[in-house]
Amino acid sequence: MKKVVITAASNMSEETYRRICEGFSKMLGKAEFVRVTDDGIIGGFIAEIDGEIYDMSIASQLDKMQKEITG
Amino acid sequence: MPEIQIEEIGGYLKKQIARFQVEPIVYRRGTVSSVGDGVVRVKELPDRLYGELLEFEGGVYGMALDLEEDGVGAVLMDNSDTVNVGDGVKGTGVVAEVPVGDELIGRVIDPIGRSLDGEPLKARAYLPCERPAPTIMQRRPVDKPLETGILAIDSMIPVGRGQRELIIGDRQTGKTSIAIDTIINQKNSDVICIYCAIGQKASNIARIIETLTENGAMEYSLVVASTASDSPAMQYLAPYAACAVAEGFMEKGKDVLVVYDDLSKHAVAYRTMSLLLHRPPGREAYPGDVFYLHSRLLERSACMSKELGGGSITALPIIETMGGNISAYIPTNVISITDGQIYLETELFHSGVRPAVNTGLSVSRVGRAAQQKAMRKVSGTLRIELSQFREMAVFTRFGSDVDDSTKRMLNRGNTLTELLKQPKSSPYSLFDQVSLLLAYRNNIFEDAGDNIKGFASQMLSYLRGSCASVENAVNSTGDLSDENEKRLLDALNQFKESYKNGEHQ
Repeated sequence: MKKVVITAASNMSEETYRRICEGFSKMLGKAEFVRVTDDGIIGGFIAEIDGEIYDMSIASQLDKMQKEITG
Repeated sequence: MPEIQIEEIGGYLKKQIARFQVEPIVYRRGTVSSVGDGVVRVKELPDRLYGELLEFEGGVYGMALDLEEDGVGAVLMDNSDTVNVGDGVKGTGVVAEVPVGDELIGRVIDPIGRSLDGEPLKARAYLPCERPAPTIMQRRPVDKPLETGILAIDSMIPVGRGQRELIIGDRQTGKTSIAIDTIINQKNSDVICIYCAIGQKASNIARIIETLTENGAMEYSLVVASTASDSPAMQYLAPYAACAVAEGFMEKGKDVLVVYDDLSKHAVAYRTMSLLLHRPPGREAYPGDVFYLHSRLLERSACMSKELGGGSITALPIIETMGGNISAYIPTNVISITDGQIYLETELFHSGVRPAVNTGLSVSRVGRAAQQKAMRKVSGTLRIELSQFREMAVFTRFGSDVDDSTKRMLNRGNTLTELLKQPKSSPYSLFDQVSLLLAYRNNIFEDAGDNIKGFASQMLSYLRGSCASVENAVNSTGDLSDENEKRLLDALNQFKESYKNGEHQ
């Protein structure tokens, strides 16, 4: 069974969190979920599965946008 | 300058943002498996580059230097105790880079491009610290002089733009002073200067920056600094970073002077790193690639071909020897890599000969071709005369009676030794140097007695008044025409006469 750590800001609703978990369950089969709260990511979420990171946080996307625009 | 419309900027930004794709950023996270002495082992971090920067939790950076199947060995850039076993590590996908460009002039930066003078850096371009050296076809022979303003060096050991001239000597013999004087003398030339401090005392670096500022040299110089308290990785990176900054200027067709102060400390920092990474030690416990460490750095100094802009990087690496031993491991390595060396001696330094250049052991392998025509005309046999004098001086040390010709030679030798003495931060212009040597060749100093220095300075101020047109011609063209030589000589003889009659005393 895979362990998935989901980091989200505290303003994420239980409903959204549940739907994210469902999505990952469909992809990975049975999985164990751990929720971590970090307001530094502003919004969105970061999922970690076996050392692989899927970063969909607003903070990282903004960083990326800044890099692309300023070159 | 065309006016920029605010709407245009807004439109441009909107377009950029519209083009932005929101997609997950996917990367692997490694875990720290051991930490110690600034060396970190990371598990499960595949696909890393050699020399890539790694980001640790808490914003600490490291450099990947050992790439293995099951992990990475890295050195920490900052001395940090915030990295712990189990921490996450992320690859940044870039090797260590430094900012380059005109914005850096007058600034002080560290080897990974962070500003150290409190002001933010507004650089727009970056270059990797490690870059291949220019190829054979991209280069051209050294043909322009780099004037140090130091008579002993410009006359006998001339340095050309694109040359690598080693400054070697024991501690406290004035190695750094020569380098700093050379930077100060570039004031009216178009050379950009970079002073790279490797593992130096922070107080020394501060003093050097102050000297440069006082002499107005920071207007065309910059400092890349790593202090003795920085991590070995930082000290190791410093000269490569300085060289990358220099290459940024060279590729725009500019002439650059880089001072590496000093490469012995650089070798020591690299030895520390290598031993901690468990690389096999060789002679004096240096790793096997310590020669390549310096050769790949100094090969990046070059004189570029005209098609590539004709820029150049002149390197003045400094090596500190122990007890005058220039045949130790690192000194011999660097001597063989460079195009000549300026050898400084403790004995000369303490007997008052400053700069304490030993002209017998110092050479310049390519500078002769680049020497100014005027200087070549007057400096001819100086080296031979000086070495004959030193030899003779040893024989006659015990006050034995000598014949007239020997006495004359000793007198001339003493005069020359006196003339070559030069205080710190007081460079001579080409005209000054040429006049002094011309005067020496024509025995103008015979009546100066013991007051050679006073005589010389009075003579120079006299010449500046009476031969201003010659001064301009020499300083701007670098040549001394026969006609100007005659005028200069006449003026010198006039001064000699008037000095004899007591007009200048």
